[in-house]
Amino acid sequence: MIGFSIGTVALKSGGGVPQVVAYVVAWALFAFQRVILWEIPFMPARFVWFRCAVSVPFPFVAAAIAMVIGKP
Amino acid sequence: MLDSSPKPPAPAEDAESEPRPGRARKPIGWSTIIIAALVAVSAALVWRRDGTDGVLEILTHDLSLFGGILPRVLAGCLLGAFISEILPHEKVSRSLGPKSGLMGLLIGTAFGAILPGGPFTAYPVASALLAVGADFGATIAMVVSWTLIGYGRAVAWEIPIMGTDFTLWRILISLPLPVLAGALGRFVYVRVYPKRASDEGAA
Repeated sequence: MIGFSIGTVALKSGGGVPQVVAYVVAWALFAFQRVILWEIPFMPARFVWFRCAVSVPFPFVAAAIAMVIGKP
Repeated sequence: MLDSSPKPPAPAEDAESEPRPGRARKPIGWSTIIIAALVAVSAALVWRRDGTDGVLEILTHDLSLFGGILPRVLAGCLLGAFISEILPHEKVSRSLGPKSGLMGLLIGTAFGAILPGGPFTAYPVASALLAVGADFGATIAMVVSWTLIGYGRAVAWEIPIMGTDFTLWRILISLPLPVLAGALGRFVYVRVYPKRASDEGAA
């Protein structure tokens, strides 16, 4: 779970919380190895592409919500 | 398939026993080709740096990893297959189909949030839901919910690495996202695939 480690490093070295939230959400939604290794073999490829395309705005939405409600 | 059936189905079972549209699986798809290419490049890099011993060491270690994961993959596939056989098509269509509205998205979100296991469980189950009548919107809500607010990854990885405060706060922020993703999915689907959407809506 190297994605979380990179997020932690970003937070500790001065990264903004909304930016790290956007990163973690994007990584959860689009992690290349998960999509290629698991999602495409198990699910119809048309669904996977559609799901990825529809998910594009949501890291930005999550970051925007984080900016509005403030730090944890 | 019905022609080869020894007994015709009883009239009351017609709706449930209709053959579901399957999808042809290619033994070697392009995702397999991409993975194989990445493996070949990685193996070549390891061989160049560490020689044959390095490659063999990794192969031996990965065989035990493969043996550990295989039963879980099999269990996930069987779970998906059993779910697609057990769940009644009509009820799933009503609860998670194109006309299920906000409730369908909320059910998909709740199901994704409580679904245990890793990708070898979640994706076969999501695929089974698609096969028994869930629409793209509800299935997107389920998959996005599993990735964003599912407790499995949060407890095992995110809390130990990123801390409880950040993880809970991130999950709180993510709560509305699966429903929004599902709603956006439905909105786009009926515009990108109008014919499919009308067929599924009529079914």
